[in-house]
Amino acid sequence: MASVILENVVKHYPNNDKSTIKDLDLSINAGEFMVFVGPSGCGKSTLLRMIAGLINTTSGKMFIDGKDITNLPPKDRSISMVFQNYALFPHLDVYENISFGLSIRKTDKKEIDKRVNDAAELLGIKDFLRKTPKNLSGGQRQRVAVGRAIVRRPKVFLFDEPLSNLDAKMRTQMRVEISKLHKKLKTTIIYVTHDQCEAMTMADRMVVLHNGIIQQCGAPSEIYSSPKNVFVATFIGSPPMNLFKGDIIKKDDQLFFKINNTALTLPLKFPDILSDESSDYTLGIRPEHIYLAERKPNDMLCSEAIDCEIELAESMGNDVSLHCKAQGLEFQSNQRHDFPIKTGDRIKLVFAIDKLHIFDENGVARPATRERSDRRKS
Amino acid sequence: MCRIYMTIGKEKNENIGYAFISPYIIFLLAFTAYPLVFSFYLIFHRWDLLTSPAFVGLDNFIFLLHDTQFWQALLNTLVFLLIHIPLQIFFSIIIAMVLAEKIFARTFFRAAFFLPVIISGAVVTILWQKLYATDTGIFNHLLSLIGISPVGWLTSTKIAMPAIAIMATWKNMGFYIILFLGGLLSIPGHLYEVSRIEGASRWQDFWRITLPLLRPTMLLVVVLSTFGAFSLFIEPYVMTGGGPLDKTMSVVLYMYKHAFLFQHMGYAATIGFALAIVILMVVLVQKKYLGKETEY
Repeated sequence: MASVILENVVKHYPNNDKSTIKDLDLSINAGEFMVFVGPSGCGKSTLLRMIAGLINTTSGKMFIDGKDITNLPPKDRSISMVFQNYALFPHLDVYENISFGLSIRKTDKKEIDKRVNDAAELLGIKDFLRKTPKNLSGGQRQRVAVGRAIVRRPKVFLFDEPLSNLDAKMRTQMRVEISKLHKKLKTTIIYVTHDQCEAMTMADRMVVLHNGIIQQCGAPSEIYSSPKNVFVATFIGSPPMNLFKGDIIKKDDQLFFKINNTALTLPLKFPDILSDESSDYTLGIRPEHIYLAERKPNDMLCSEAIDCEIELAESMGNDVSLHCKAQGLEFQSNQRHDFPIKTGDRIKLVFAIDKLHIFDENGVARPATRERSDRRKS
Repeated sequence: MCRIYMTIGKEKNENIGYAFISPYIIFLLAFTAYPLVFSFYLIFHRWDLLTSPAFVGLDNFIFLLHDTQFWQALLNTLVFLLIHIPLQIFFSIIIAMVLAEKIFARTFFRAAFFLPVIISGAVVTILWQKLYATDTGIFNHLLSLIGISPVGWLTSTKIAMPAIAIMATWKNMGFYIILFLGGLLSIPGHLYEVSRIEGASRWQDFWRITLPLLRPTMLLVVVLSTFGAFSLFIEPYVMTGGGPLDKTMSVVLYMYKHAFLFQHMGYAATIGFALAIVILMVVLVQKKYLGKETEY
């Protein structure tokens, strides 16, 4: 187990005006499963490859287990990496692929044999040891790649979108297997993905990256319930958080959010912090926090009922995602699919006031939203 | 009605298709298929281009089996092949690996190495004849600068064939460099990243990754250069005429001499047929040892 610390890490390519990674600080605890998540081009793979030593760092320092590894070659960093496309040697069989690093380092043959067999046993690939990669399925290939990574017993595992090439079913299966593997090995894992579902389910903590900047770092539940900005709010969560532009207005000593170009005003529950009237605000609410009026929880403060038209009802079996329209506004609401509903129906919905998020003109969450969540945690 | 139009249209399209390929078919029939069939016919005949071919049965074959000059020519060709192909593969891979890297003026060097391939074989041969000249050649001049006495590059029975092999390597290498370059660039880069992480040296990279994954390219290069080596003709024809003492007489040059100097068309066809069998056997052996499929 080893901690990983990044201090003021920058990656700048000479032919690019903007830095790919901008002055990034991050501390990953020993034995932690850390996930870097973000859209394509956000710099997550670049950051991982910098930790691996495959890309040079423009400035800043990196430490693994307290040792400065910034200028060390990849082989001396005590890391191993699993690639998106498995990166198995096509001319070598599974045994030779797994033992590649050990044989390069001239490890004793008996020791190699023991470690390869242990890894194969752990990953359930013992029957394929003499097969070449082309005779294996995607899931089996990825297991071999993981086997190659663990057999050398590094201090940190790096996973670069390892499940992207697998079909949905295999992805779910491998996700569980990698999580279980982490529980068994207790090694620090840094895992890159663009799939928020992987990030949410696997991570101890996750880093949301955008344009080479950490947007938010924290436990998945914290990031989901208290996004620090509009980007995180919309990137994490499927369907994404509903956002409405509007102004904060004061009426009878009570603050309301007035959604632009509509007659909709929603009472705000944190007047102590949002004391001033102001414009250019964004209100956010997750689809599962918009309830059917007749089913609203008794203990929850909700808005008045809004009459909506269903533009599209996407059933997922247990749940239904309703694309709704009201007063020119479009938003999504998730409901249990235990009642008949179809496109064109009219329903009444209420917004959970306690679950509203307010973002200022720069897209940054107002402290009110975050403090509320902090209070709940404590 | 519609179907009739479609049928007529289809037939019309087919005819246009045949019209387009007909020049190629005509040339193929006239200059490949007919000579092939005719040469097979000639194997069993004696023909001097003037009189009608006379049937001789297997006489040409029997003569070939006892023709020491033919066996010498075959041996010479094999000597050429054994020097030329390893040299060609060695230098092509080395240069291709350098040209695959991001070096200064890479495009220029890639073009420069390919240039000899597109220069006429006769021109290159005459040029190298001058370079190899015992009295006035630059090679001997350079040797004299370091105190080595002149070498009979094209007049020594031991050196003439290796000298021709070196020249042929220079001439053809560009083509094989391009093939190896293609092979190198098709090896996925992340395999080298894995080996960097696992701690392999550049040398281990070459032996454990590059060379095994170049196997399909290697097979192609070996087969193509085997064809090339067995058809060795213009170099000895221009530079040595097959000498000294028939030591650079290749099978094709020997066949040419029988066909067009001695008018032994039947016997020349038999030599050609024998050469085809030898090439087939060599290529089959090569394929057995190199033809393992690799899938990335």
